[in-house]
Amino acid sequence: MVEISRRNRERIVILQFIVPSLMIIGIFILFPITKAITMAFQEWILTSSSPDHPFVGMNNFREVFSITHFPKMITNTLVYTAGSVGGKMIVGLGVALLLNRKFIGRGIVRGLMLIPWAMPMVVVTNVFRIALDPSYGLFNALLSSLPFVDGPIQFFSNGPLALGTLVGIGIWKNFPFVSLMLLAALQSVPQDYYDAASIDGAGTLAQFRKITWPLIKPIWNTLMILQILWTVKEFELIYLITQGGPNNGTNIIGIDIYLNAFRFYKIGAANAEGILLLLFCLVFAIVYFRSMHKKGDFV
Amino acid sequence: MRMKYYANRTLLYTTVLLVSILIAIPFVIMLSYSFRASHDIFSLEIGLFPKKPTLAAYKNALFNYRFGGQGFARWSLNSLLTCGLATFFAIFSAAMTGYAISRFRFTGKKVLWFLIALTQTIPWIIILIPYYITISRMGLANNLYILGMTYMAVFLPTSAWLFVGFFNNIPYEMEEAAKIDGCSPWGIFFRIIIPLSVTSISAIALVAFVTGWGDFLFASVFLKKASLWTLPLGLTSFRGEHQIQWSEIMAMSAIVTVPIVILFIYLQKYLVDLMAGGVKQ
Repeated sequence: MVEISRRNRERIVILQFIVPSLMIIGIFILFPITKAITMAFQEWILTSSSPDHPFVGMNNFREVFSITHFPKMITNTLVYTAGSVGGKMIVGLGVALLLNRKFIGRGIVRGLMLIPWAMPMVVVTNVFRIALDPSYGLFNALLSSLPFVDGPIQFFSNGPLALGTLVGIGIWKNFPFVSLMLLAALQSVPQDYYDAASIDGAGTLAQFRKITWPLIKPIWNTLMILQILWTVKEFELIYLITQGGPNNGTNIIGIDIYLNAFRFYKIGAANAEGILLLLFCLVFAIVYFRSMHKKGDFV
Repeated sequence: MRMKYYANRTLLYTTVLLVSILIAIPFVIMLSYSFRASHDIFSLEIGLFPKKPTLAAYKNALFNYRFGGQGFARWSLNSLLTCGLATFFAIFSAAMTGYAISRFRFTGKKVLWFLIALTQTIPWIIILIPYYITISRMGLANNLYILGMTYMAVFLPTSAWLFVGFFNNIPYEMEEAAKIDGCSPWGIFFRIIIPLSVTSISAIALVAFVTGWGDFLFASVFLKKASLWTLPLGLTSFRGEHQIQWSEIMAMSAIVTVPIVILFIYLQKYLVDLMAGGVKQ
């Protein structure tokens, strides 16, 4: 019997702990990613029966850049991401600050906050489609009854308003996640700091700027990067309400990739767009990874 | 002074009330429409609370509604099995990996951790295309097992990330004692760590499960046959016809949503702690 050294035995145990995950990530995530990268440089004509796909260099990227709505799509993506992330962060912070105060029924409100998060996107989109419908939507009827609103609003019939409405729905759906995280951060701020500050005569605003903000800022930054990464790829919310319309007014990159691949069968172009998105995300993923390791005591 | 206190409190409670209404209103609208009779669905006078609430839409959605010869029973079974099995395997692997990252020192740990951060943030639409082309070439499209395995991969990174944060917050002393008593790492993991963390594991499992439960993207690409559909696909099927059956949609939506909402609220405390652990690490 060859004796296995203690160190090697330990290595085998550690390997056993991580092998299942490594296999899953390798087969189902890393392999498709490498395949997506190669596919972006190949010619894909699904109707031809030949099994090989010649390399065509940057042709797919050229095709993507020459699509007439490409600049609009990129602008939409950036506007949607900026608006949605900004909204989620600000609303998230506001609600977190509110729920950090003491009041009767706080537990119930904290529970309520989980509703948007727990509702499946298909359900959310259906609810907003009916609630905002110009002829029979309850929400629209409520808005029309306000004094300064002129008649029912056609939320999804013009581009900018449709995009703005989708930003609003996205904020409603996802701000609870931000709020919960910030709430956890707020709760870890010792009450003594505030007591000391108010003895020194610092007002609410000064307390926020000098105590709260510096202490929650690291989590705020990490959260914002996560939110950018999760928002830029938005698909279901928009696809299930407007499918990118009207006239590409709500077409963002996730929608465009899906439509190119599964409706127009432009596989090469879809993958090229995918690579653009991947590059964008990779930059933020690296920043995110570094921010997780700031403390340095972890690995 | 006292006046100011009451003014402050009134302002606080008004804000809280407004925020609560804004958060809950889409959920209430869903329930409101689900209790209407189909011929009342377009009537605006009824308002938020139907005068004659009826369970007809629930009955229709559960037993009578058919699309492509299939209905709620089949789709919910598909959803439960696919997401359930995927969650089980994903949580199992994620817990082991999270534990390894949290407790052991080994070369390549940083790489593994980066791999998790990267896969947690990757837009799934990027892998969807090569993935779909590969599986349809292999004749595996329209297959619930493949969808389940995909969900397993999708759930894994976020779950592992949550587990690392969670295990980092568990004190090490107990394991040290067990180690001195001659317990193996596997023994420590299965006999001490797992039994101690059942509630938190359920919360992580819930987060994973819900991701699949609401998934439309993968299911819409993989499943073309109505007999294989999951609930989100079933929920979009009410559309194509001349008239959309809104009260039935809302009834089925409520059935799909309410149990999840209850579970979320039940596990609220653990969810918050987990999320906090995830970000703070």
